[in-house]
Amino acid sequence: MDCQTALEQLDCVRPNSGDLELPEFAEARAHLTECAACQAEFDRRQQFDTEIGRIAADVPVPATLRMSLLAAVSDSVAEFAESSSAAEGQAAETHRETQPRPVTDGARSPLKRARLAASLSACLLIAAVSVALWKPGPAQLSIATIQSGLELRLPRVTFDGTFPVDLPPSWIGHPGLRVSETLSGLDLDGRDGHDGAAAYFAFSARRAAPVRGILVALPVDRVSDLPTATDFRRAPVAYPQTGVVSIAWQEGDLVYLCFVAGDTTLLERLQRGMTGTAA
Amino acid sequence: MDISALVEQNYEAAYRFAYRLAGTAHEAEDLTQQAFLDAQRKLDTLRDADKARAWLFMIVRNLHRRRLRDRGTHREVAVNPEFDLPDGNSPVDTATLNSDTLQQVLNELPPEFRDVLVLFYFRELSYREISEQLDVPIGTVMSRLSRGKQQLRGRLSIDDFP
Repeated sequence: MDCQTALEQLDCVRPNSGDLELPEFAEARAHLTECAACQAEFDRRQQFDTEIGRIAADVPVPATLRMSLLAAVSDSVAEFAESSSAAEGQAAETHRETQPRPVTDGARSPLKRARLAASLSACLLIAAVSVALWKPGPAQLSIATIQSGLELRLPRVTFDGTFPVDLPPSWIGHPGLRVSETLSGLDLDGRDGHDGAAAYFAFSARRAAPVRGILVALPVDRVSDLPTATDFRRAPVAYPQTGVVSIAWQEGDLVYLCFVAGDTTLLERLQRGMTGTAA
Repeated sequence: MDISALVEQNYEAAYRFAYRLAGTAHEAEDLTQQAFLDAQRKLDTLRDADKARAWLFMIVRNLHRRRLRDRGTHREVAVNPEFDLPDGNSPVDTATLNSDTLQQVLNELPPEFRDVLVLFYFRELSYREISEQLDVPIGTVMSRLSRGKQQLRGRLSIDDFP
């Protein structure tokens, strides 16, 4: 076997793998024992392959990717469950498909899912942990504490419907907005019942990268530090945690918190997008 | 295995694989998300949880191939203003060999070479396993591996062997 043929065959040998001992490489292996130049070249190429293999795996993974993917499949699970009419729910600790929200006011309607035209971007995982939010007296919730003190992840618990929940009126009908059908229930005061409801959202405007995040709704009468803003599009951006931006505002009987992983430009893009004509 | 577990256990590897195939972070993220959505729809076809990663990678690769086919031969190449890409005929200084330079060189290779090289280096598959994955004859895989690595070495200026 000539040098070129031997080295070409040996290009199929994975470094540090034992491939060289395979029967199909016997002839090439024998050539190496007879040709010092080829042995040296083979060793050099194996070292190169080892280095390339190491570098090949050296790809930084976007910090928001995991959240984006979980949000995407969460939405997809909700769609799939709804469309296939899955009848049985799971235990309280697992996701259920959403049930129609109780409607107590003729002017309100359940949270709706708007159609999304583009792919999703940043998303914030909300972890529901017990945080001491209450003040003396009735269990009151602090926006500031929720925004800054809570590491959030959407819990795998369906919202129990303790209060009527709607999309913010200023969000309804935007064609680029999609909200997950499944509402997660948030236990923020450590007592029975859900104090808040949360959902993933994704907003995509033409030619812009989508903005992903989480929307939280709280009853106004439970909030101790009501936000002064009543219009999402003009509400000030807060920076409660590193890598997280948030907006709080009040519309009707609900206080809304919008969380986006990233910087202020993402929220500003969302605010500008909501300024467009709604359906 | 449920879809959330599949995501948690494989999303980093899937993204890295997608990146090496697609060449840009944006495409890789899009490819990864679509792959997991496809995987979710086909989850009942995954018989062996131990093979979930290989199964998922196959979805990623098939999606990528489909997109390349739909897109024609045009392929988006990452533009990194901080990286002064030499012209296609000059070798890259091996002193700057890193993830970005590797990807730039991979991006310049024909897709059929890039596929086998990514499977070889990133997934550490044997040439036989690559043949099964790609549904390509073993001889073809061996030829592409040899020629692809030759081009890789040439661009990375280590091919001194006469």
